[in-house]
Amino acid sequence: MSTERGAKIVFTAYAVMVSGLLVYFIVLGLLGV
Amino acid sequence: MRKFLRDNGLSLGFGLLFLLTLVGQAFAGNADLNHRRLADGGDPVGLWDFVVSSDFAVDVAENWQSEYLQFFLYVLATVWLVQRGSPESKPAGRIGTESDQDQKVGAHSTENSPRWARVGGWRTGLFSTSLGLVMAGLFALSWLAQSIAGVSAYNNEQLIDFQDTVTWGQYVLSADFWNRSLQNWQSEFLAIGSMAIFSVFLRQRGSPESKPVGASHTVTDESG
Repeated sequence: MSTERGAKIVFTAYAVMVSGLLVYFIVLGLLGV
Repeated sequence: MRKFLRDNGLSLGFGLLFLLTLVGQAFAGNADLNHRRLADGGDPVGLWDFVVSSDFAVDVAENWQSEYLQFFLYVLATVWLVQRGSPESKPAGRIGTESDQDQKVGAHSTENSPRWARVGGWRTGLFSTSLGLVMAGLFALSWLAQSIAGVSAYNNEQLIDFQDTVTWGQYVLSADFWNRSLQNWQSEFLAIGSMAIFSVFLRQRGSPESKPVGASHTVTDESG
């Protein structure tokens, strides 16, 4: 695996994790739970 | 796999630490909430109910927004502000966005430059500010998440105490919202200022956040 490809995998994992959790927090707030 | 782990050790290591401490925060936050609920004569909530609650969301989001604000401002401020003698700063002679030659964009790009740095126009302009824009965007989204989860958590507490609830607009002007925001911001700004000035006179051998141990106190932009 190339260095750039490896970094892209980690980059994508961070992007998905951060954006996913942010959406989750907003949904929890909107649901009022 | 070994090469992948070594090449990405910093981001993978901190990502793992993030997940472990997030789980720890869930347990500690749940215990803290239950302690307060029981003291007020209320019912305790289970761990899962806490993790899918606004109480958990607002506690996490309020810290996220301040961290992304910190890095957004740091990325932006270090373009224009310098700290002579700090490895966190560039030399005073390079204040500003620098020349295309310095930044290797457009005609000055190399064959290894990213494509959007080579092509010029709006794509190079956008790519040139992409780090700051993403940090700013994540700050804005985290702060929005804090406000939306915050008003929900706040109103839940108000209902338990038989008090009036507030709208989102009222909440973002409330003491609770600004106390949560400012208590995080002040610590981030102190940490940045401390790092900028401490790294002038103190060293951490082998860290790129520090100058080489033997570097002069007045040398700027030299990593060890």
